[in-house]
Amino acid sequence: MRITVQELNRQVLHVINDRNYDMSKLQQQIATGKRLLKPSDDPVDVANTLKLETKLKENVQFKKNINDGVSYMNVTSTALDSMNTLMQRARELAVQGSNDTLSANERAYLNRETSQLFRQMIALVNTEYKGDFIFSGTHTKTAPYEIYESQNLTAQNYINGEMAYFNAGAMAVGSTVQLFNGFDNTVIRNIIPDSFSLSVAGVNYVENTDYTIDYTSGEMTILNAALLVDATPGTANYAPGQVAISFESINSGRDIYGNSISNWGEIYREIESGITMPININADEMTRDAKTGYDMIGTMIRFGQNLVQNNQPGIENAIDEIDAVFSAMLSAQSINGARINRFETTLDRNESNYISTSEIQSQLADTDLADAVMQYATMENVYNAALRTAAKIIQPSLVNYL
Amino acid sequence: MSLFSVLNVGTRGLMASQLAMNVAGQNISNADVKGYSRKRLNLAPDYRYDSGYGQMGMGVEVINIERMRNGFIDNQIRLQNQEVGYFTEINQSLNAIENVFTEPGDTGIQTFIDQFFDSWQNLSNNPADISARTMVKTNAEILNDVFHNLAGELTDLRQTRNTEIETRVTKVNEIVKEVYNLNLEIGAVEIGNQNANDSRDRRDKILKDLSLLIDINTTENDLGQLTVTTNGNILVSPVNYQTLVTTSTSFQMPDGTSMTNVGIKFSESRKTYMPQGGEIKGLIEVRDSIVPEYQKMLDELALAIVRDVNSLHVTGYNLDGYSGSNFFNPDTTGASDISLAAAINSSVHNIAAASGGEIEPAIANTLTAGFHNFGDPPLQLYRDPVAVPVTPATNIMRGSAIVTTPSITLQEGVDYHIDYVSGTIQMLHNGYDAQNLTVNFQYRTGGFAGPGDNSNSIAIAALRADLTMSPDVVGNNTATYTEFYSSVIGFLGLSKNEANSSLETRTFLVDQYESQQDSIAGVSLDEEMADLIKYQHTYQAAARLISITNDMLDTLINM
Repeated sequence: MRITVQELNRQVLHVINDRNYDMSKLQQQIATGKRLLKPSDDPVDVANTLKLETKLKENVQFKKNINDGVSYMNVTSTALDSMNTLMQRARELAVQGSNDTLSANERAYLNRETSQLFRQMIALVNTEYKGDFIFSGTHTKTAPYEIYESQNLTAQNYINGEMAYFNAGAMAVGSTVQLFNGFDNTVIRNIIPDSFSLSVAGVNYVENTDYTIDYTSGEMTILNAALLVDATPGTANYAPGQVAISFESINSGRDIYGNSISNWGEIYREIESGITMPININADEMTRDAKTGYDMIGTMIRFGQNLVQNNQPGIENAIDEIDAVFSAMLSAQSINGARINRFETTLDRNESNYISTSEIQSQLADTDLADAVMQYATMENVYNAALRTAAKIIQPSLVNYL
Repeated sequence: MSLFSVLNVGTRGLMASQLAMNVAGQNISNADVKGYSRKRLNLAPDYRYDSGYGQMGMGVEVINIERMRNGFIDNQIRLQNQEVGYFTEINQSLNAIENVFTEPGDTGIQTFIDQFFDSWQNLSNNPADISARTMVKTNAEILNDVFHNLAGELTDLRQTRNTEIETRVTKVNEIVKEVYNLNLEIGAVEIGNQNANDSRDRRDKILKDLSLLIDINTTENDLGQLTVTTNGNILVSPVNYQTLVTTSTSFQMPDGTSMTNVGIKFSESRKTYMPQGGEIKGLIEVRDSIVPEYQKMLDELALAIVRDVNSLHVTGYNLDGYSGSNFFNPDTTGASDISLAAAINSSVHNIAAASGGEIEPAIANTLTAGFHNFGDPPLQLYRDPVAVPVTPATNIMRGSAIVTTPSITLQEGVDYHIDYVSGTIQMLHNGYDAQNLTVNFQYRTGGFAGPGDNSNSIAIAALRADLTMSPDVVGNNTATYTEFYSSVIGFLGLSKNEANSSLETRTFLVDQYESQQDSIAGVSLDEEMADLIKYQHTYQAAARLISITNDMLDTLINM
């Protein structure tokens, strides 16, 4: 077969081109550290790489979710620990208060401490984390329990209806009247036992002497005829200097429709693919014992009331009630603790998943540097040999020898 | 036989050698010219004279200058070239598509889909946080931009094929015209029994170029003229030729943009032309089937995301307690116009992270004539107006209310206003106060559960792992977004590899044929050099013959 100039050229160029192409491919792989640069490099592996990449990103996100959940639950845990301490103190006071040897005054002093303890408990239930109330379920901007204060200092307070009222105008001594909210005429409930005071026309009246209060239902039993007045808004009595009632009461939060919240809802975190876990404890769950029905608000108010009214059997009951509420709180603590454990176990699994998936990903997508560099060295040799022989072939011809 | 005839022989020998040197020189000068076939001088002894002692020639006769080339191999090369041209275009376009998708890597759409769903997870951890909401909106906008980009580049690739087709068609026409002219030339030369060597070289060369562009068949007649046909249609005949003409049609894409397609017709017969091979076939296929396939898959992905996110979002509650808005614009037709709904654009409060309850249709409420005057306080709507006790219809589904008189339907915002949260209706004028109005609507049973409710955003984030695409024969989805997309990329890679190896095979075949042709038609410098030496010697010998004969003649004359 005849070999011509063109043929020689063509072959030489062809080979050099091929080697160049291979070397440049390898060089790219080494420089970027990635074996797969384009889908056509290895279509099946590239498709798998994409799927693995997504899995890794999901994994990272789940880890964030887990950590977020755990910090939330840690805050809950701290609050519950504090609550634990408070409840123990409350029980101690109940035991102390039920002692037969105490006088009414001593019990009244105990009430002061009890009510302060109560306020602390309310504050704990209203704990916030990152601007959200953590015991409010999904109603994170609504406090579980709000303390409402009745105002009666200025004329504007009366105009705004910020003072409560009652209507005992047509009643006799010994009858019971309901206290109402001057703003929207709703019933006042759950008054804090050390916060109530009443004055009419500048004269301060004394509890247990002139009147008694049922702090839970907000009803007042009148013992002094001077209090048989009608203090409804619009009457002459509902004015500064006339009837003045001060107290603090506890309202539970309301939703955006104005209804009181019965289902506080649950906050979830997705910790693994398809697995969501609640991370919150609701105010109800931790303050109310489902078996006996006693809840913290009612119990502490009754306790305080019995202290104020010097009712020793009532105070003894308080011990059992406090125990019931305590057990509710303990169960909330253990639920929270169990959840934290679950999250931490999931975190371990998550981390080891991440490591094994990354490994697979790396095997698929990354260049084996040692291998690639060796291949490159070999190719370089071949390339040099090709160039050298090409030079030798295309030069000589008969022309040189004639 | 006289001495003069010997002189004649010598002269003829000189001329033959000269001519031979010429031919050798021609070969040498054109040694590296593409498409040049080497020429060979055919000499033969001149049998003319019957001398009585046996036949004797009167020197050397030049028969012709022969062009060394194998027509059969040329034909084979043209056949393979069609495939080479076709696969070159396919390969190039698939390469461009690979570059558009930029996978695997951080700039491909997979990364942004992941980022989008990650931001929903982040929102689940902080449902009331404005910056988390803004992140969701921003990541959605970025995702939309990436979709637009990809769609735009694919459309671009498709449209630029048209320009390429037009360029190729122009080239085809040039070649066709030249072949016709060469036909005439060759006919004119060969009718005188000569070889039209260089014209044939030129014709073969341009035919090879033509074979890259379209599929051709050639037949030669006795006069050396070529008929070139493509797909049964005559492009060049010994007496005529026809060119190709491009036509342009536009059509509209679903998203409203218009696209053009360039078609090809024959100029004389006006028939539509669909090449069966060559670059033009490749370009048409890229434009009409390959790129549209990827466009379709991209659109499918975009539309699935829009559909799934929207169907969850529309049932969720936004930060203000309202329900019923879409996240993506529901009028999206594909990847090129995917966009956010107006509500999300105007405020991130409208992102519905919370969910709540089922959707129920209410029993129709009747507003009695005379009781719904303009200026009255808002009237409460009820889920069931006759039930005892009545439940206010809080959380009405946005857009679900239909208020009618016995004869016409009223317009929201013009005739009445509904507060969807509290479920109240208020008239905006007294035009209908003398009639009973019937109000039909749907409501949510759950209601807004507060700004901390993240169940809808968790559900949307979980779409990433749900089977949402590639329905099977019974309609169940079998793939997640990522699985669908990764199979598209895998398909792309496999197609590219297939096209690449087809191209390599064909190119290799063509190279083999070229080598074979080269060994027949190529110039070997060594050969030519040896010939030069040979002809130099024959020239010298012929000259010597003449000089010796001259001396002999001298001797004769001076006797």
